[in-house]
Order: sequence, then structure tokens, then C-alpha cells
Amino acid sequence: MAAKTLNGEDLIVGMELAEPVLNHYGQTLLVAGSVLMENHIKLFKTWGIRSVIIKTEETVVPADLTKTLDFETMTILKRRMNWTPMNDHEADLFNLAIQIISKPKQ
Amino acid sequence: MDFSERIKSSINNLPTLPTIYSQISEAMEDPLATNDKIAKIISSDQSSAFKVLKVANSPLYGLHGKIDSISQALMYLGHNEVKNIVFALSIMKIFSKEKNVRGLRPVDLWAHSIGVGVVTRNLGIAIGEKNIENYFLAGIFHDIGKIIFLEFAVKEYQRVVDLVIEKNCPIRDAEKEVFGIDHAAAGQILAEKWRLPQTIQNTIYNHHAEQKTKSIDTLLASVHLANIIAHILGFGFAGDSLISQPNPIIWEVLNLRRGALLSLKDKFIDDYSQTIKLMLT
Repeated sequence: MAAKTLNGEDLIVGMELAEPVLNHYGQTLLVAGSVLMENHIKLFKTWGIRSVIIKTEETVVPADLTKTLDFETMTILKRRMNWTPMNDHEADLFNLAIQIISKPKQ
Repeated sequence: MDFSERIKSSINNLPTLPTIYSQISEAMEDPLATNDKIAKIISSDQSSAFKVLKVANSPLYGLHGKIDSISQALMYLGHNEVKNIVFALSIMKIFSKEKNVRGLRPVDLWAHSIGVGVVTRNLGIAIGEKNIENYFLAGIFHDIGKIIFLEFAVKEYQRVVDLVIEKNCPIRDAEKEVFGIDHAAAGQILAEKWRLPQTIQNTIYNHHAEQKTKSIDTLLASVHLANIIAHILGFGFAGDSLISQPNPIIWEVLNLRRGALLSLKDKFIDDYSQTIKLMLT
């Protein structure tokens, strides 16, 4: 199951949470897997929750991960990983690679 | 005789499994053998016993220095896992670490293999696999075919490594061009000769999980993904710098929770750096 982040104002009753929603004290307001109801959306507004992660059915192809990278990192990445991530895990593999490639040299 | 035949014949001329490993296996098959008897066999090779204890106490097994005898290692880790550690250490001793080619050293290959072993075991834990005894060993042995090429055809393997740089191609493509077979096939011949468990043979032969791979179980999926992660994290060096896209089937097989790979990154790196120190020195 894929997931995506939505702003508070885009939430609709019936959506399913992919991740728990926590307040700024770290307390859980709603657990992962909950189906959103009107009062949940109001609760998020009360606590100032700006975005939540909900489950989606469609395959989410992550946005172009290379957009904000420097030229050197992008060149190495394209030479080594010449493919497009097709799900969240594959996007995580790209993120791992970016973290390693762009790590300051010792 | 062509290269492919030469490699097969060289593998067939390799010695049988290390004596200590055969003795342990035999003792473990004996229902009357006690832990103490098996521990005595392992302890007869003091350097092996010492290394087994160090590995058993490494963060990889989460026992944090609690193991101070081989008997305890057998009890906490299980017979098979201890046997696997002895086996991996023995195999690393058999093959020369001196047959370098320009751009690829056996020590870097072993480091990569240990890295894959560490990540494979951690993935097994992450997916809640109950029997992860073979996960570490399967990871360590996945590239044994490259070690064989280096051992028996070092000059030709230089050509392979040069081709990889020239064409920016996967090392297995260059191996097929030079030898007619790749390291997965060469490794499989050795695994058969040594009668390694069928699951380990399967991961050696299919760790690239190409489209033709008939079925992918959790062990094979873990090794396949661990190999990609070890490349990404720079664990050792396996001969090429290309990072391939995983076979999409593995995501269904592993059913990892979202974000698992990013959250495991530090554990992968810590376990790897501790384990290579213990196994490669």
C-alpha cells in the first residue's frame, strides 16, 4: 500500500491513516489505520496539525529526487543508479544513496 | 579447454570442506553428541574459537558480550549458526587474500560479502522471519564465485575488471564475455561440490534475481536487496559501482514496513563496521 502526505485542509472523511498522528507533546492523537471521521479532522485543527500521512491505492512515483541535488551528487547518482524508483522503498534506496554520496568527504 | 571448463575443473580440484567444519557437522548430526563435545571440536582450533566468540558477542547477535564460552555460543546462537560462523571463517582462510587485480582486492570483496551478510540478517529480523540461521551465511557466500575467479584466473579477471571500467557495465556481463559464465554460476558449482544447503545454493545462483528466476523466497529476496544496499552504503567493493533496480517481486515477498530501510541504515552501518573488524583481522 502506498502513502502520501496531505495538508490538513485536503483531508476527507473516509481516508485511512498510514502513520499515527502525534501532537507536539508526542502523544498519539490517532493511530495508524484509523479511518478519518469529521471529528478527527476537527481535532487535528484544534491541535494545529498541518499535515498527515494517509494511505493511497495508486502507485506513487516519488517526485524527482534529484531536483535539489548539487551537480556532482547528481552526476554520480545518474551514473550509478540509472533507473526510476517505482515505490516508497525504492525512493528510500535513492535517499540512502544521496545521503552517502553527498556526505562531506573526511 | 575453454575458460568455463577450466574454472569448473579448478573448482573440482579444490579440497573438500575444511576438516573442522566436517567434524562439527558430523558431531551435530549425532543425537548423542553433547554441547561440550561440539565445543571441544571448535576449541581444538584456538584461533577459530577465539574469532567465533568475538563474532558471537558482536552487535549483530545482540548478546552484548554475554558469551564467554563456545558452549554458551552454541546454546544462545544455536548449533547451525555457530557452524555457519566457523564455516565462513574457514572459507575466508582457504582462499588467498593476495591475488589482487588492479581495481579489485579480495579483501574488499570479502568486506562487501560480510556487509551483505550483516544486512541480510537484519532484513530477516525486520520482516519477522522466525528462522534466520542461514541469513548471515547466505549473504557472506553470495559472491563466492568472484573469489573463485580471482583464485584460479587472476589474469583473466583483470580483463573483466578493465571491461567493467571501459563499458560501465555490470561485472557479471563482463564475466560472461571473458569466461562464458558469471560468478553466480561459478559459485553454484562450488556450492554443489561442497554440498552446501539447497537454500544457500539457490541464493548464490540467483542473487541477482533476474526475470528468469522461478521463485523468490524471503532468504533470496533478502540477499538480493542486501546486495543492493551494501553497494549503496559502500560496504567493501564488489567490482562495479552500478546499483541495479531490485526485482519488483521482492517488495511483495518481504512486505517491509514503510520507511524500514531508512530507519535501519545506522544499524546496518554499525553492525558492518564491527563485524568486518572481527572477521577480517
